[in-house]
Amino acid sequence: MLHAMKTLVTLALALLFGTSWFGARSVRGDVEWETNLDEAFVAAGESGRPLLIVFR
Amino acid sequence: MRGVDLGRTPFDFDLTFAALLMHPDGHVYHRYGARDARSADRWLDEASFADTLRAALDAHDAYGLDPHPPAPRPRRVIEEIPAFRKRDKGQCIHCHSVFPAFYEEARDAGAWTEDARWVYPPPSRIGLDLARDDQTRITRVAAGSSASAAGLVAGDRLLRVGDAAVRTVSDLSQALHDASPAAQGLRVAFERGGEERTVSLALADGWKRGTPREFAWRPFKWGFTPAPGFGGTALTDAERAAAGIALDAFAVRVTYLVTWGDNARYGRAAASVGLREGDVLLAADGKRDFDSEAHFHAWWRLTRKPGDTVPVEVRRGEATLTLEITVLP
Repeated sequence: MLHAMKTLVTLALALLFGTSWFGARSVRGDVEWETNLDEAFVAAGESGRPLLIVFR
Repeated sequence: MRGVDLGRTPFDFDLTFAALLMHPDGHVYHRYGARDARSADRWLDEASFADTLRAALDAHDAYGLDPHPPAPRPRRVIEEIPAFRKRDKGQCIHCHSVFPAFYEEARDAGAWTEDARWVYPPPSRIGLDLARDDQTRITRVAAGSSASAAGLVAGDRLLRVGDAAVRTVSDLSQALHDASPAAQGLRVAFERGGEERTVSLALADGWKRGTPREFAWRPFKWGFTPAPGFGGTALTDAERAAAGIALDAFAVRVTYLVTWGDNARYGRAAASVGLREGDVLLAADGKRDFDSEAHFHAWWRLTRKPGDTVPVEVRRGEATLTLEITVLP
């Protein structure tokens, strides 16, 4: 859990330097990216994981 | 924002950074990212962000035992809003394009209300200020405010507003945004000395309406009319010294009068009474305490009405002139 959280924090901070909006999902500490928001919702629904969505 | 379902991921579209932590069924656990008149990053903080992520993971674990997804909303994307479509050039659509599209759509349909301007009220609207690194902790309660009347004090920790869990300023702002302008009160759960308590926060008529100063940072303000029809840049310290203007005084050199687009009539009205590029704006309607050009614009666009006459004081060379601009519809 802690590793997953650290990864999410790292990911979220990295998003500050992104170029648009992203969807992302976390899979037990490993983070998968989805740059299509609709697909991110589908993937999160299938995995049962929460979504972190950053708009900037 | 092209292709983003606005109903599924509502947030404060004026922000430059907004994070939603949510279940794929649409239930939002927490939000992160907010802003106020003090600075763009006033509420962005690594420690509180990490806490919020941790809280969202815990909330996700608990949510599985009692899922309560929000009612589904029809899919809605900005490029299908007619008011926006006419401006869509097929390029990247910025988040801050959303509120003006909603505004123009409602205005054109005759459904616009004054209260609808005041999106995502800040904590100060109910009299609260919060800690940056722990955004549940109250650091100040304004005298005479709703929060003060309800008995909240510095050191209390917010838990919920209505049914919404509050972990961040963004959570609180969303709860205030979702509350009706006609609401008479808000139920606030908080923690004091390890004990959970609940109070009802009384809301006065018009509670959703804020101030131009508070609104000045929002790109949303640029969409409102009537507009002054001109703008410019603040004088530098050297320019102020040379002109004999106090360093802390409001002074903006007019660098443009609007001669293009939908607002050209306002620029022509300003020009018709003699305003010129190069003039230095010092006051409007006797008001000199503008923090910035943005604050001046927010004030004009939120408080001036068609038919008003606004005396504008400008410096031109050694002379100080007062020009009376008639506000057009």
